[in-house]
Amino acid sequence: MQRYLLRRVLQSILAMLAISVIAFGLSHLSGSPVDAMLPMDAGPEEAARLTKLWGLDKPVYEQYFIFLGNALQGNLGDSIKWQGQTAMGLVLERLPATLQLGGFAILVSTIIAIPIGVLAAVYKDTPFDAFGKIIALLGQAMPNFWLGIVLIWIFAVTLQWLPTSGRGGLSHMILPAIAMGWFQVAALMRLTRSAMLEVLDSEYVKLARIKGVPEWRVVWVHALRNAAIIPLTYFGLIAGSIFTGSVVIETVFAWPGTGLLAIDAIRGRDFPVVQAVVLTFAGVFILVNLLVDTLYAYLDPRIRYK
Amino acid sequence: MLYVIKRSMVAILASILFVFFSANAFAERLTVAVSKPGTETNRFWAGSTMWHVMDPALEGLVHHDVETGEVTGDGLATSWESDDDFKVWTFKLREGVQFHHGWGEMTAEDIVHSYKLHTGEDAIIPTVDQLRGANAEAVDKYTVRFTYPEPIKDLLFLHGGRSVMKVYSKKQFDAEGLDGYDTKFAGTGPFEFVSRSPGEIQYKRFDDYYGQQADFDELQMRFVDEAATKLAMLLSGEAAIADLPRELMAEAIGQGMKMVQSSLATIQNDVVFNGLYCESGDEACGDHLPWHDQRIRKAINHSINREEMREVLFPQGGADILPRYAMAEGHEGFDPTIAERFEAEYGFDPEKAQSLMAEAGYPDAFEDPTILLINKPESGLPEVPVMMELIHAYLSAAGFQVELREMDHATVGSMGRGREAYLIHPSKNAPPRPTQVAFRAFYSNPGGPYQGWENDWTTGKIKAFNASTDASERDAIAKEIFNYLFEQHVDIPMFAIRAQLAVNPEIVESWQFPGVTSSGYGHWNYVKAAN
Amino acid sequence: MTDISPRTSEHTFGQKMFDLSRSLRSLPIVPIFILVFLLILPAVTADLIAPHDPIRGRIPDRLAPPVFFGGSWEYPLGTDRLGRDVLSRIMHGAKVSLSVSIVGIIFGGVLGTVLGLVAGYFRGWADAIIMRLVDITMALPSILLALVLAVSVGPSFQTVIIVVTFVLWALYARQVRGEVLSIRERDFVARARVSGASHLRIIFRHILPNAANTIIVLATLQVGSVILLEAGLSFLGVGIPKPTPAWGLMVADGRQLIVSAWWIAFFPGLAITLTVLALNLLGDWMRDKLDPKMKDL
Repeated sequence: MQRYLLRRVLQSILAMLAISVIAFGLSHLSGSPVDAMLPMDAGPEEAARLTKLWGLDKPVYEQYFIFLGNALQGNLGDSIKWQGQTAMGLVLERLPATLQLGGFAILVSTIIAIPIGVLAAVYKDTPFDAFGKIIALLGQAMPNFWLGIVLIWIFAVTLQWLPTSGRGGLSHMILPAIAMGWFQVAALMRLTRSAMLEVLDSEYVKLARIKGVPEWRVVWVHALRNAAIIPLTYFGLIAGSIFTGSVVIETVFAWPGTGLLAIDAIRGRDFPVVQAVVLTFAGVFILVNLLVDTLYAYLDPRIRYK
Repeated sequence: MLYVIKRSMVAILASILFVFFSANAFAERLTVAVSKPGTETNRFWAGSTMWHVMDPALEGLVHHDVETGEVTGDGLATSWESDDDFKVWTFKLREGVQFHHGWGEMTAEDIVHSYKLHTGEDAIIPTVDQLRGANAEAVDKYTVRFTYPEPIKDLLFLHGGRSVMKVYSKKQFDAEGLDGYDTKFAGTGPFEFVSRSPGEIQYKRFDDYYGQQADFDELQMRFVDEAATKLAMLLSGEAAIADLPRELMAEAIGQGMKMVQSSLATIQNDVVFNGLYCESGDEACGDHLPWHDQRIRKAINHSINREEMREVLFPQGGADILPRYAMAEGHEGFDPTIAERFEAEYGFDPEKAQSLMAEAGYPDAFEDPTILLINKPESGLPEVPVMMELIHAYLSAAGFQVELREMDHATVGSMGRGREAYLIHPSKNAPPRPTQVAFRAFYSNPGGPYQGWENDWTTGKIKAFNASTDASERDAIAKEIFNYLFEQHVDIPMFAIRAQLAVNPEIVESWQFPGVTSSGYGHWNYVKAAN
Repeated sequence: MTDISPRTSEHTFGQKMFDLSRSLRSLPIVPIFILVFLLILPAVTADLIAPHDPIRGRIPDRLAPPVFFGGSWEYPLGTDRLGRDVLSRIMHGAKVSLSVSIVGIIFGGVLGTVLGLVAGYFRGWADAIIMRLVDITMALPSILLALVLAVSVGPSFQTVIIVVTFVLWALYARQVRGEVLSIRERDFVARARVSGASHLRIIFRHILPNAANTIIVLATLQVGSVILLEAGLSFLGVGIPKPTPAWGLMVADGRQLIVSAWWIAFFPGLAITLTVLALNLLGDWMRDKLDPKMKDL
């Protein structure tokens, strides 16, 4: 177990190093912050002054090693677009908003997916099964920004039940979380359904039925408890798609998170912030997957020795 | 059981009271949904496209009249004068102007300090390279003097427009440094800064303001880029003012909202034939471009139906067809006859366009006849993408081989500074600038890459214009230049546009602003509350 | 070993198709119907059947409502803000959606499949390197790549294909590698090896046909997600550029007028939703029939 963990951690560190190169390369590929910040009619002298000021006149490899050296000390540099703030400070300031929304979106999709998945398994091959599948697949079929705007119009403008946008209390989270989470419903529901089908067919459940446990208890307690472990790996994969979703959903709902920050930073060629965002998200993704794998290895000893 | 009921009763009562009081507390708050600023920083000199969100708290030296847009002595400076060759400018400051948060009275020292900030190493505001180079000195407590080595006729523009020198407190800087500005900067405007968080900025009324007092106690600006969301905020009552794209204005008005608009045009909108860096001996001259041929430039202008575009883009009015870019009434060289000749020279006339194209031998006579049209998003003018798509449609209908490509400000800017922007792209000038500033920015080599129209004649004339200090001579030269640019069809002038915003009439009764400051709207102390 | 269960016997591609045809009785008619009439037919015949020019509109006819909402049969689904026929644009848009999906899936699929085959078959350092690349790719937010590409070179059909390829290859590589790992342990591979077949022959003659199911199911399921990805990119302004009639672009472009001129965004949105839904139902069905093991996608 320890060797397995050590190997995984080492792999993760190597991956992060590779990602730092990619993040650096990508951001420097996108042009220069000087051009983004200066007005069109500013002359070459102004451009040269700022290029020097922001250290962009040095050779690229040198810039990378400066970046890497600072990054290893936890310093990802100062933002160019948000003068007076550090890149990491900006990301950390906005990260809770994104994690909160992402977490809530996962919660919403779980709340929708699990009952549908369970019922679809119990009523396998009936109209309910098909109906549940359509509801779940619908979330995977609609463009999420479109769904978001429609939700705003129905629930915030027409019915006035919920706020349109921005970050606030629980009520602010509902619409963006649905717009973001519905997409995951299909996969979660499918996993739940197949896991339930397997468990419902097991000796264990048959035994419970023979013992006279009421059917609803068999399904919702005995079977579900055993089936719930299976969708676990899926959460590792979700971590990535949450970010992808957040870029779009945060724009629609003016949700001040890292997705919005990423767009602004890329459009402004704010290299330090772009790098900080990419590294943070890759880091979170790798960490979540490391945790999920570790948990899995812990639950299923075969994996450790593979 | 009884206890539980009692407890829930208390909870319900408490929440009702809370709602009641909080509703009351926010009655005097003005929430505004505005487009995201280019930068979110309190350092005005180091930011871009953020004047609209800093305008409530920060002021330049001079004010503009809300109706006429003219520079007035109602602001921080009450009067000013320059020597005959516009090199030495002396400003008399208003006495008793207080900085926010108790940082004391504004004096000439603060102006000198602010000048240093705005011309420092990290300054990126658009006017910085013109502002630079002066010797700024505090003559006495209420007198400040700028001495420039060259004549600078339009200095007032650098102190009253949108991205100009704003006045910060020196006392605060000495005590707290830039950190103090970052956490809670002090300005002199009608609102003082309270706080900023990602996506919003909060102000409250500054009761010691020397000018017109604001009606609202609090001003909250929320940064929303998605137009449909902005409209939703307005209609659901979450925001009282929104800077909507014009095509949503009708929708807002239909739902009971009201439109307010600037007294004057704030934006001159233009499409640029870039790449014509053709002073003699300039290798970068795009003489391979179809639009290097004046007949093609004219044909392109004749292919575009501006009247029709105006109806599509500005259904609520507020936009006039612009006869000559960079020329504006009230500034030097204004020639009203150009507007009269516009229809004949630029008006929609497909037949004339066809014959001009045939005369120039388009497309066969050109090595690469493709017209590269760039769709460049312009902050504050969301109509630009539709406008470019329309121009694309007109040009392809006229028989041009045209390709619409998307590029942003930074890419076009970098290509321009590299003198390789062989493109036709939109450009926006908000507000109309003084003639000398405009010439410098758009039609001369040292000014920059904006326009790409450079030739010996223009450069020579602009030099003569800049060197002259005689008002009537300057006016004559400027007129000559404008007429030349007009006859050469150096660009595709589009519209002169007023700023328009949608307001909730239950909260906002009226709002008058000139439109020459900030990116169209400003003067937040003139927002009149309903009731 | 006399037990010849379906998983240990070698299946040729032809046999697979035979299995598929046996299950044709349960063919999902409605999704296929939708796909044919909404996606494939318009994509192939748009130039012939579309009533109007998809790019050049008639401005006086702008913002005309659909026929049953006060419009006329001239523009059955209404017109957009430049007076272009929404129906014609949807028909031409099918071509764009289909070509983005097919080209993207071919690029991503081929790249991912080849690397997955190499990783799974040869194991060792090739496997290690490829799988680390997969990890890195999955950890990098693809949308940021799209944004960077769009700001640096400008959005175009090519940049969209690059992003799609980037997103897809890792999925394929992972899935194919998993398949290959189990296939290579089977008897027929060992037999082929003993009889002196080259690696190339074993991979293409024996392993690839047996992994084909996975690849086909994955491809079917991915068409939908590519169409959605294209829409998301258009929303961020980094998708297919104007004035090309792409579905995602049409939705993104009309979203502001969602209340006053709802049809501009609604109908292309509906086309996307129905198409993706149909593709997913079809993919589900194929997964059940062809590859019951691939449940966790």
